[in-house]
Amino acid sequence: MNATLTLTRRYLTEYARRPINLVLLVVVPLIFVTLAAGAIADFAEVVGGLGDQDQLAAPTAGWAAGFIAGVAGLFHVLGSRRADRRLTLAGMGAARITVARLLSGVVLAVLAAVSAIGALALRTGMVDPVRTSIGTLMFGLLYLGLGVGIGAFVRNDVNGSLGVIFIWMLDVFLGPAMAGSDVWITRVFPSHYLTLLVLDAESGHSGPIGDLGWALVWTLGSIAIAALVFATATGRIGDLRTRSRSGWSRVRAGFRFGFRDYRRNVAMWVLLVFLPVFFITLSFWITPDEPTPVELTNDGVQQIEIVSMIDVHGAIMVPITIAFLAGLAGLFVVQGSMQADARLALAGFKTREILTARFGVIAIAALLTTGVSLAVTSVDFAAERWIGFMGGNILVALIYGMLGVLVGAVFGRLGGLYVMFLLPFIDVGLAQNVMFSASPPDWGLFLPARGAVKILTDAAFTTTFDQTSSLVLTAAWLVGIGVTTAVVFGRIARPKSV
Amino acid sequence: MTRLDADPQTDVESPSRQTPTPLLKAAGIAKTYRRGWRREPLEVLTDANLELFPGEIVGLVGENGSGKSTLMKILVGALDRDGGTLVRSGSFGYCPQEPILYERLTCDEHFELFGEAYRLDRMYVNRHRDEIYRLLGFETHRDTRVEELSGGTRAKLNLGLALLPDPDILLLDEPYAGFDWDTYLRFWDLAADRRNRGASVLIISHFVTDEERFDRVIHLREGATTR
Repeated sequence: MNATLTLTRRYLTEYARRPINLVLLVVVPLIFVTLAAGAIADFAEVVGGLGDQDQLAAPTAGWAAGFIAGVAGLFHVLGSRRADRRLTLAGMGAARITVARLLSGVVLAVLAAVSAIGALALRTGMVDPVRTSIGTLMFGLLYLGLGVGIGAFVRNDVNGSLGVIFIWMLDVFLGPAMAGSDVWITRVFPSHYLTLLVLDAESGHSGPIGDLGWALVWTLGSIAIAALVFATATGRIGDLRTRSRSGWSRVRAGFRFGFRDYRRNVAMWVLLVFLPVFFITLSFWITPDEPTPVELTNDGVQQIEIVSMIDVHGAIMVPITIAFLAGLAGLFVVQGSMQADARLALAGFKTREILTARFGVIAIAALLTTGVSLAVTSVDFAAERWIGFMGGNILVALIYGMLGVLVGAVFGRLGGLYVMFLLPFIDVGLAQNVMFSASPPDWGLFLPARGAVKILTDAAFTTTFDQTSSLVLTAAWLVGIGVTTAVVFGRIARPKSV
Repeated sequence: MTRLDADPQTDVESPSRQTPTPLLKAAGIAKTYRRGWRREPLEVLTDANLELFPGEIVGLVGENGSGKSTLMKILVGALDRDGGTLVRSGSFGYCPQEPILYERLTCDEHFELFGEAYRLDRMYVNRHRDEIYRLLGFETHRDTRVEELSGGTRAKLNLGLALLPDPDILLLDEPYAGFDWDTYLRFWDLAADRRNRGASVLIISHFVTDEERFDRVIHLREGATTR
């Protein structure tokens, strides 16, 4: 214990000996809260944040403390990672170093919180001092964890700073104080519940553990995960030549370079941008505005509804385009590097690591494709439920991305290209197309996009989700194709037994 | 990864006659390809045998189509064998005949990625990469994508990736195809240096003139090895 406390003290001394650190720790919260609290509160009120003027000023102390603690946590870890590893080598033990780093980090977070609370008290006063103080301290601890976690993960200070700033900006400017608490995506932001707690407002979506429970989960979870990441990074030591890199490290490297290789393919970008514009926009333009029947399930009731043919055509062209592009991405990402991947496997990558990295690239390609296609679609068409429409299309993209890998492995690059040209049109364009028949043909049930297209059609034209069975069917296809692809890829790329 | 400087077993069992343990031993390797719809057999290797010991440069020679590259692929694990036994100890670096690389990644990015594969420390990768650039003379291309490299520079990168981990066994399939004369000579200096530091180097070669540079030569004829 003595060694840990000594280490903690030394860490704090080291931190304090860099004057800029102390300036940041005390002056920034003071300036931020003093100058910005009022303006931010005004802005928040205008854009629809929760609470009245006094309440809205309270989280500004937390934001300041959080930002400073996050940056402090980041640099506290980043600047001394190699020295900490050397300490581990010398026998200090990763656990002890982790505890000391976190203890000294907590001291810094408390200092930042105290400074911010003091500034808030001077600037606007506090409606509820206890709530504001505890909340501000929790902000500091939450962001300390984020900063330490990022610091243990990234390799340079610019990337680390960008990480902290990006998370903080999203968290603050899209959080409940600014944007209310109705937007579902903001519920996963780190300080969502903590901000509501400081504002003394109820989220209404916190379940049995309540807003306080979620705020504690985030705060303590952030510290715990940071400790885990830091201990892992610090404990990872080896001799000068080799180091026991984790499989995850290789997956990340494989993904990073795989994506770099992919994004440098100019043909891919041309396809990605022009094809959606051409296919989707043209389909809206050329389709006559005639009524057409579509079989839909709305609120559990199956019925034929009459909708415009323009909308039906536009809606169905999205998954056709996405299936085609995602399939090509799957095909070319893997086929383009199959030989080099096999060499990488000989050099030490495990085939599952290469495949995971490749799936990561394909997932990014699938999401990009979906994003561009949906953006183009949104100019001419408004789905009843965008989230469902987006989700259905993403599922189509993932299915066809993996199918591209599988088809490439079986038919090769050129053969696979023709197969991946035909398959989306047969499956999505014919077998699942509600334009040709109010209800898609039965034989389409045996093709991969049935469930996903039903989900997106349902979302395009109805206000309620009634496609649970389609979701299960799609999940089954995803798992089936994923497992088959993994097996086939493994057989091709795996080094042979010696 | 440890260098095998001596063989303790040999010291114990036979102090008078110190025969080192081979780093790689292949015995009775057989391989038959099956071609076309009718799966017609094409027997490439019938009885290939070889041993590689620490501190030697071994040449694997034979006519076109004699199965040299097939044997090399089996030795590194890139191809399944139909018969025979293969025992390999220590780390190895493999340089395939055709440069197998990522077209849109740069030389530096290749070294970084393969450093991950070999599980090498980043500092080591950086230092050793720079040494390889210097030895093979392609440092000016470190930020150039493979698709923009000349054939000779691709061959240098191809070889460089095999050299990166400073392995116990180097398995090189015509590594100098496309090299200029200076680089070709530097390659042999480099191979000799590895040999002198205890590594075993197996090189597939077509050149008769190379034979004097080998410590041993293994001939491959009609699917079988002869000395």
